[in-house]
Amino acid sequence: MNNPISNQKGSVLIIALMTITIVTMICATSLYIASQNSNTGMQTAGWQQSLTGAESGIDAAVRALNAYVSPAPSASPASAWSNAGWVVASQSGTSLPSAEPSASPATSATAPPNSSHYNYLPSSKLTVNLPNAGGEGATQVKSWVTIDTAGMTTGQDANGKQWYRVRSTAQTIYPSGSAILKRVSNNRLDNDLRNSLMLQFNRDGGSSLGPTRTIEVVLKPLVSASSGGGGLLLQKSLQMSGGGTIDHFSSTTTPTSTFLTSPSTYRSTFYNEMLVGMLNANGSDLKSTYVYGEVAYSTTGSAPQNTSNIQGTPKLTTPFSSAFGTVSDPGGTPDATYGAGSPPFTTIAAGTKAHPKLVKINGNFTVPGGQSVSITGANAGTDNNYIIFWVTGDYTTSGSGFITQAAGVHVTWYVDGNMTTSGQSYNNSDGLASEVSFNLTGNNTNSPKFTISGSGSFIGTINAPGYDGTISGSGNLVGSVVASTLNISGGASFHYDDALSTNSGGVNIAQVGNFAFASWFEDNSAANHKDVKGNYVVY
Amino acid sequence: MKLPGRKTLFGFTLIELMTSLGCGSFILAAVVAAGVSLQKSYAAFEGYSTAEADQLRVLDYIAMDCRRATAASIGTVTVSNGAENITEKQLVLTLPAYYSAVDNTAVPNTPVLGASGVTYGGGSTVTIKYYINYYNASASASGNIAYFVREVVTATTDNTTPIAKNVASFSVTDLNPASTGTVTCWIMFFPTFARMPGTGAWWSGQFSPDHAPDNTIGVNGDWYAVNYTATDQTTVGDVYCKSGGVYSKINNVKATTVYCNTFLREADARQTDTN
Repeated sequence: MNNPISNQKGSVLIIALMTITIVTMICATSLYIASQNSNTGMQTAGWQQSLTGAESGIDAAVRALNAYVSPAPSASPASAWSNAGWVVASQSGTSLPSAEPSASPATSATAPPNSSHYNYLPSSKLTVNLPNAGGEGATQVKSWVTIDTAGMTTGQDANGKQWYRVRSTAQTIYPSGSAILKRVSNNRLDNDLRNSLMLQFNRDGGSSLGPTRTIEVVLKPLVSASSGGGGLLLQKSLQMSGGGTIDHFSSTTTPTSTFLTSPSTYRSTFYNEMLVGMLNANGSDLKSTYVYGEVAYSTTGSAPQNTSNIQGTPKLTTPFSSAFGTVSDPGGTPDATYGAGSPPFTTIAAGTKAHPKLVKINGNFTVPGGQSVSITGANAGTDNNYIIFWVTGDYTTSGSGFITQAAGVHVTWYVDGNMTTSGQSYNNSDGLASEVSFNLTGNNTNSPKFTISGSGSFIGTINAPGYDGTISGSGNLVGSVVASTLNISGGASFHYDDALSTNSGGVNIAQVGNFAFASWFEDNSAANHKDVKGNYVVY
Repeated sequence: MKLPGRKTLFGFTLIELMTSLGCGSFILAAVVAAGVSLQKSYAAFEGYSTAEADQLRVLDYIAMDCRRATAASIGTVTVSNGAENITEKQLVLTLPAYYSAVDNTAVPNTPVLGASGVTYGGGSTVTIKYYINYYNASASASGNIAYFVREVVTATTDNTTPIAKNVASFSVTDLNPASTGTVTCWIMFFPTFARMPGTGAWWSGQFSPDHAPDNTIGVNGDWYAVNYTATDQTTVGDVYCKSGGVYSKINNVKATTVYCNTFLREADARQTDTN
C-alpha cells in the first residue's frame, strides 16, 4: 500500500530554511551593530586616553620648571630634570620635531632649555602599560614632551624672566594584530575628529597605531609674593570701584612725583606683567577697572568678575600659587622704647645701615590732628640712614596729623595692631616706595585690618598677608601690597613701582613663584587628510 | 472486477484542508511578523548606534574646542527648516590662529611674546560656532532634518560640517560668574531608537503640540519633542506623534539629552564678561 504522506515533505524544508535565514539575519544584524558600537567605544576610549596622556606630559614639564621657583621646593633643582629623565637636544631656530626624536645619544638635562636647545622627555619615561596582552584594547598610552623657549627672550618679560613653550604628544597604542584595527570605522566624522581612520591612522607618524593628541601650552613665570615683586598679592579677593586704575611704572626712570602728575603718560606699556595675584579670587569684582597689566588667580575659587578693561594679553592668567609667608616682629634689643602716645615723640633720628635704630612703642602709636612726627637722618653717606619702628598696638594718623620722613632715610615699620592712615599724612620725601615699608604682623588684633584714605598719595610697601585692607578716597597708593583681601574704592588708584623688584645695581631680583598658563591649545590637525566635506582637517 | 487504469486517488478532506490552511497562514503570519520585527529591530539598533556615536562625537568636539578657546560667548543665528525661519542660540568660540594655513600646508605657528602677551599668527583668531541647521537626509542640501553643525570661520574660509543628525535642540548657558569658568551645553536628540527612524519628520518646540500654536505643525506620522525653551520644564523631552491631524503624547518615551560642562583652559575665556 502506498503512503500518501510521502508527497507532502517539501513544505517542511521551506519553513526550516526560512527560519534558519531569519535567525541568521538576526544574528548578523546583532553582530554588525555590536561591532559598530564596539568600534565607536574603542575610538572614544582611545581618544580620551590620549588626552590624559598629553595632559600628564604638560604636568611633567610644569613640575620640572617649578623646581626653580622661590621658595624652592627642591634642594637640587637640577635633579628635577635629570631624575625625571629629561634630556637636552640642539634646536635649529624655533622648530621642534614633529615625531618623537631618538633619545640616543642623550645628554641629561639639568636646567631649563636655552635659546639653542630644547629639553625632551622621552616616551620611555612617560608610558603607561595597560595589562592587556593579547587583548583587543589598547596596550599603552605613551607621551613625549618638549620644552623650549620658542624664540621668546627674557627681555620681553617685564621682570626679565623666561617664558617657555611646552608641547606634549600622547598616543594610545593598539597591538598590531588587534581585531579593532581591522574594523571599518562606522562614521567618517569620527575619523575626522579622532584622527583614527580604522584606528590605523597615526597623525604624527611612526610605526605605532592609534589616536594621537598634542597639546601646546606657553608657560609664563609669575613672581613670588616673597620676593617683593608683583604689585597686589592677595590671599583672597580684590574689590574695586570708583574708577581708579591699576598700573605700574619705574621710579628708577621716572621720579614718582613726575609720574603722579600724569600716570597715563608715564605708566609702563609692559602689559604682560602680572600686577594682581590672588590665591582665591572667589568674590573678586574689578568693576571694569582699567588694569594696565595682567591679573593672575588660582583656580581654587571662581574667576574675578568684570575684567573687560584689563589691558594685558591674556587678561587673566592661571594658576597663581605663590607662597605667602608670615610676618614676625623684629628681633634684637630696642635702642629706644616709648610708651603709647599721641604721638610718643615728635622727632627721632635714624641709625646707620649697619646698625639701624630699633625703636619700640609699647601700645598705640597715634598722630592726631595738629600733631606731627619727623624722622631725620643725619648720618653721612648716600645710603646710611635706617630706622625700624615696632608698634605693639595700633598705628593711627588722623586729621591733619602727619609724619615726615627725611630724604635718604629708610624706615621699616612693624605694627602688631591695626593701621589707619591717609596718603597725605605720610610725607615720604624721596618719593621712593622702597624707603617705607609697613609690616603688619597681626599679633595684637583679633580683626586685622588696615585703612588708607584721603586724597594724597601714600608711597611705600605694605606687607600684611593676614590683613583685610581698604584703600579709599581719591588718592593713590604707590608701591606694593601683600594682604588677605583688599577693597579699593572712591576713585583711588594703585601704582606698582617696578623698582621694588630691582636691587641697587638695577638688576631685577624678583623670583618666580610659579609658572602659569599663558596659552593652551590642542593641535588636532591632520593637514594631509580631508574630512567628510572635502576640507583639510586643520581646525 | 478490477477496472483497468484506475488509480487510487487521495484528497484532503475539508477538515484536513482547513487545518493545513490554518497552520500555513499562522506560519506565514509569523514569518511576516518576524521579518517586520527584524526590520524594525535593525533600524532601531542602527538608530541607536548612530545616535550614540553622534552623542559622543558632539561632546568630544565641543569639549576640545572649549578647552582651547580664548573666548566663549552666546550668539544667535537664524536658519530655515524649509517652512519657517528659526532664530536660535549658538555657541561661539574664539581660537588663536594656531596654524599657518588651512590647507595641506598647515603647520603650527610659533608663539610670539610681546608687551601684551603671547599671540599666534600675528594675533589673528579663528571662530568656531555650534548650532542647529537643517539639511536633507544626506546633508548635501537644504532640507527639514535637524543637524548639529560645527562652523569654522578663518580669515579665508568658512566651512560648516554637520556633525550629528536628528538633534531636537541645543542649549548653552553663558558663563556663570558664580561658577568656575565652564561652558555648559545640553543637546537633545530625538528618540530614534524607540521610534523607528524614517517614519515621519521630527519637529521640536517650546509648546506641547496637542494645542495651539504648534498643533498645526507637521502632518500625520510626524513626531514632535518639547525642547529646552519650554516654559514648563517638566515637559522637556516629551514626545508626541501626529495621527488623524492631532498630536498625542507618547507616554513612555522621552527625548535623549546629553550634557557637557567643560572647563575653559584659557584663563581669558573664563572672565565673566567678554568684549
